[in-house]
Amino acid sequence: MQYACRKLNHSRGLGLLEVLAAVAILSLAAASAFGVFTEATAWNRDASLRTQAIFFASGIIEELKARPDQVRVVPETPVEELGLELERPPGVQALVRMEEFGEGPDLYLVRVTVRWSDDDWRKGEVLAAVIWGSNR
Amino acid sequence: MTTGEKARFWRRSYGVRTGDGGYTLLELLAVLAIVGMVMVSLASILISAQRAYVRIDDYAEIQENARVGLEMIIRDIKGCRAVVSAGTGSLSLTGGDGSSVRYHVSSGTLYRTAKGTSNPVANSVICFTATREGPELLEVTLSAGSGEFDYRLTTRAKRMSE
Repeated sequence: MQYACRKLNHSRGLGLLEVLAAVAILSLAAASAFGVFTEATAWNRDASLRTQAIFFASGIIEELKARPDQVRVVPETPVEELGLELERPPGVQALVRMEEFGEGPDLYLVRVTVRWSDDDWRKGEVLAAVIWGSNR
Repeated sequence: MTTGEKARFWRRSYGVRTGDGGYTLLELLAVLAIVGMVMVSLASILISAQRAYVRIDDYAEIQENARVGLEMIIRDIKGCRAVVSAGTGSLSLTGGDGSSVRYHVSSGTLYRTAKGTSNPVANSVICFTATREGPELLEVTLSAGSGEFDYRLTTRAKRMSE
């Protein structure tokens, strides 16, 4: 079997084992490249959670605009503890922080931080708005 | 046949390549079989990748339409003069210029009707509801998807006061 393997002999071309090794390596590379498509499912899920989280955050801000009695100085607090009614999408967490804004009377800076991944703390978005309180 | 001739015959006919005689039929068949198996498994990976691509592309389109549709509804609510009616499957507003703006779902598609023309805004809609949460505040839920997934967006929008 010395012809078929081991050593590349230029006058004889490639042996069976070399061809097999080449095909195996090529198929491994091709299979891992196709993995990108299946990975797309995870990206899609992440993107849809992100959108849900952002709509949730903007909903919180809109609700606070409509309910100025709820606008007050609050340290970073989970949204469930604030007495807002907007339903939280599953898998999304939101923290709300309100502080006085500028010199103006009863103006508040509202900062909503949403997260949608337990594994990756960097996956988050912050939405901020300046809202009137109820004593205007 | 002498012993040497016999050995040469067997070597020629089955298996082992000798001298400069090229490949034997058996070697060629073995290579074809192995390459064939590799190709079949590669093809099945390719097909499943293609299916995943098509499915994700469909998902992305449905989600994009739902997202853009909800943004449009929110903009209409923020800029409207009055909310005429809000309920499951439909929402009627009086626009900033006094004309009527209406959203309704018909056979899975969300339409926006304004100034006499009706345009599709989102497809594959599972449910669309608008609920009054206060005098100026509406909660809007738009859920889109197929049998396999349900993409549900909920938010609130406040009509801007003059």
